[in-house]
Amino acid sequence: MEYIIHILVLAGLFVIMTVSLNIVLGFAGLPAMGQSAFFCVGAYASSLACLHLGLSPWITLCLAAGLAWGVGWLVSLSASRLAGDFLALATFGLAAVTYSLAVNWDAMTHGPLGLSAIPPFSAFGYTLDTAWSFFPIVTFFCLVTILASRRLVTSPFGRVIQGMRESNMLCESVGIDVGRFTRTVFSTGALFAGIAGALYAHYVTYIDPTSFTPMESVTILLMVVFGGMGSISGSVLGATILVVLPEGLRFIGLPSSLAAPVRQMLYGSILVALMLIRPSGLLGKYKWR
Amino acid sequence: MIQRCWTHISEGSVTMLLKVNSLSAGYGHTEAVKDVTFNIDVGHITALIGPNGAGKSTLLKALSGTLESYGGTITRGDILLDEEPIAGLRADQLVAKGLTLVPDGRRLFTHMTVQENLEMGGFTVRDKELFGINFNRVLTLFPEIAPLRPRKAGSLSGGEQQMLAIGRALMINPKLLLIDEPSLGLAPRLLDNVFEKIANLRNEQIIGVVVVEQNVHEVLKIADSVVALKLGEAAYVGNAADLRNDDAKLKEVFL
Repeated sequence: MEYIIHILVLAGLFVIMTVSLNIVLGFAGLPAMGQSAFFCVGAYASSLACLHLGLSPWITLCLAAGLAWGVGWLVSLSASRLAGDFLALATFGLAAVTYSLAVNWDAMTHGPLGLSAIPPFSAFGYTLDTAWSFFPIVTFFCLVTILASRRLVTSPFGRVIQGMRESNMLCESVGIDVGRFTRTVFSTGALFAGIAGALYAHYVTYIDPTSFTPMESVTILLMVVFGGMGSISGSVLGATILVVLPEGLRFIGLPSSLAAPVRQMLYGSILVALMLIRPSGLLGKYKWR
Repeated sequence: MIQRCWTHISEGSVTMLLKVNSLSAGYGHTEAVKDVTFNIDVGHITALIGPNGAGKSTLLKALSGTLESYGGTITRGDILLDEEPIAGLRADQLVAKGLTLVPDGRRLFTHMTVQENLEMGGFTVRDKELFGINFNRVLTLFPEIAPLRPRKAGSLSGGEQQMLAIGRALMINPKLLLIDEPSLGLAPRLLDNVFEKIANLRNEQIIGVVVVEQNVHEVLKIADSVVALKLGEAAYVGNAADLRNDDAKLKEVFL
């Protein structure tokens, strides 16, 4: 049972990242592939602030979210100049650079050894280090993300970013500063990924670079596309299914050496099947190009 | 804004709205528009014509503030809107000054309804009352749009889409409206309808309109003045009527 809750906690973290990426990728139509970079920034920033400055994880969570937002904003300065595939490449590059930093910046990140003994969250004198006790936290942040995102996309802001997905030029012609909206939407996506990263770090209490490979970005992208671009409930569903489904592979008795490659194969075939059968995903509004 | 525009007219004299002063623009070392000078008056429809590659679209991009996103720059000269220099401003900044563009190609937010398209058009109009005035004015000009409001813009016919695009642009109550190739992708039967609507804008006498058009004969029917470009230079700047009745001159300008 503990194991099932653990899987749900992981699913929750991916829900946060998928829903927020959907704002960027699905609603605003910016092909961002860098979600794992912000996840990584959030996780390392929160852990390091906790370990070196001795701050409470609740505070470092906010710091990490702020830092991820800042990095997202810096990246978005170039994002608003890049279009389409170039943006996808640039953000994927960001994910690669962040991963590489985590591996090579020994003095800070301890390289491949990772950071251990990261303090878990605590509340009212209890240490929240088990899956059971962490589950409510993740659920809370999931709900915050979902409600905030829903609020965002139904607001005038949301209508503008959905207009940007159709044509930047058209948005400019009605007086919208496309660059400003691009920066806001991009850094918002980064902020939530940063929160997810910090939550992850204080949950598993040990992080190393293997959790933040650029492939993670592809996985999150797949979850968005699978659930459906432009649908928040689709993202919740997509992330949950794609986290839970591969875990089922354990129960059919696959050796662990095979499980990882089979997971990749599964993801790959889902993507191909989606393009052929249902290009708009489970509940999506827009087609995957 | 409406009030002020009306007083322009009531003075009885022709008022200059836009002044383009020896403007040159291009991409890198290629100069696509060379030393072009013309004026646009309030309540006039100006046809911007010329063969392919004459620099029409470069000039339009320079006027509408979209040139830089295509990698171009204004190299010389200036553009004055109501005496105020506007060369080099971005398209969204120009909207605040009362100049807007109806782009060709992707003209509408196709995933949104007709109503939402009009609301997007008035996105920068913060004042609710002003928004209502503009909204009603657009529906008066384009009564055929009103019953279509709940429909997705992408499901409209070509003619309806073009009218909605013009209506959307009018939502900011512009001083100057630039329309890029309104005939593009329209059946000839619908063409008359759309041009008639554009001509109606002049009868309202509150704004200046620039129409870029390949279909010269059609646009000359409704235009007051003409700017004809040839290889980037102004081949003819003046009255539309003179050109309309003088086939030899039209050929000379255009070929």
